[in-house]
Amino acid sequence: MKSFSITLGCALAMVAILAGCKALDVATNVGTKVGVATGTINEQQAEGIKRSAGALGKAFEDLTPEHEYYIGRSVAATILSTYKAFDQAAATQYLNTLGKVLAMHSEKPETFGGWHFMIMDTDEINAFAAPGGFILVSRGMLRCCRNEDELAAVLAHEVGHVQREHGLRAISKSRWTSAATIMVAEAGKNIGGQQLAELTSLFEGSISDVTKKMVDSGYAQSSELEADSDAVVILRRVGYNPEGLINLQTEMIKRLSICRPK
Amino acid sequence: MRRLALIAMVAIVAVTAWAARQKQMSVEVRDAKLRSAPTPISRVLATVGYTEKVTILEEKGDWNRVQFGTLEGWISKGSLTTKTLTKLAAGGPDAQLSVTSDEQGLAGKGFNSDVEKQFKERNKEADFATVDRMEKITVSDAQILQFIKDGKLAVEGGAR
Repeated sequence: MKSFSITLGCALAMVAILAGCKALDVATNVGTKVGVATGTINEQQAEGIKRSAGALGKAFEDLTPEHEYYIGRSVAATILSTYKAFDQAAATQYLNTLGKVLAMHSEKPETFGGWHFMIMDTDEINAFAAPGGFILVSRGMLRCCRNEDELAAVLAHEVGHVQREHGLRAISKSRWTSAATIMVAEAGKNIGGQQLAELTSLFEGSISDVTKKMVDSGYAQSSELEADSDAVVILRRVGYNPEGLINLQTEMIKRLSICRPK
Repeated sequence: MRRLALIAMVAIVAVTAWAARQKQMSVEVRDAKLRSAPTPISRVLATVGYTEKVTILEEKGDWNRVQFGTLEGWISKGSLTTKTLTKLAAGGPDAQLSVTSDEQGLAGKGFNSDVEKQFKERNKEADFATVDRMEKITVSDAQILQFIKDGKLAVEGGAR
């Protein structure tokens, strides 16, 4: 439940965003403008988000889509060591077709290695967006979706996390700086021996940073709001009802409160 | 005669200046689709590979109209970078990787297949077999168009 926002506050924020056509138009202005326009966040907080995004861009400017791809593969492989894949060819193919239609209408229609979707064989209500476009959705989450609008909302939200590189932001800045230093020092040579071992340790740490953020602690509410606003834009572009997003969140909250011990 | 030579010189300078202004970008995804129109479901004219250079002719929203060899078409802006990507010489362990000429520090190094191999050895429980299976699942453009048609989806830009 960490990747897909289920907090009541977030759900209420989206209710505010989705209340009426005028507000929906505001929602299509992706990013912090959404929060400000709907009163979810104030101007000062919006500036803070912009500043941290800028700082992130600077710190991680050496991170290429190819690096993101390899990080994403390992993050997905790590998550799949806990949640086994649900191997049902027709369902997987359907999920990939729907997911790709949505991703094609995002701001990142193509990633280095392409967009890929898989079902996790667990009743937990979960979805994860690993960097580079590896998206995992649980059977429990699929059961929450009462129609295609709602399933599209889940996938569009996860696509939003990938296009905003939320997973990558979890990598400790110092870890990436160390990795970049090795790359610079070894420019033009084939990295081997000690450097490769060091780089692998930094890679391992990065995978751990991203996985912990996605599975254990969850993204910040501002990231969830960004992914929600991206989802609204994508859903509208493809022709799905964006209200599927809030309907789904309401259903998830209902189901989770039933499961919660009294 | 002198006037003709002058005109020719001016023409050469103008053409050179125009050519210099032509912005070039590199493809930064493995396979970028060159499409017939600036929409995600328009016809695919060609696939442009990682590191290939294209000339930017026009920008429109999230798309660039580009020239690739003799072909002209549209590529998503997200698939292009202003960094010049250059393939490393073949033969080395990083032969499939690339360097950015304006950021020599990267030199195609970093988190790559060699690092992933080491990671796999250290983390044997990580399920890369399933990730490999994920990557093999393909959805053709024809399937996507059929899905849009069957679902009566009103996609922006319409189907081709």
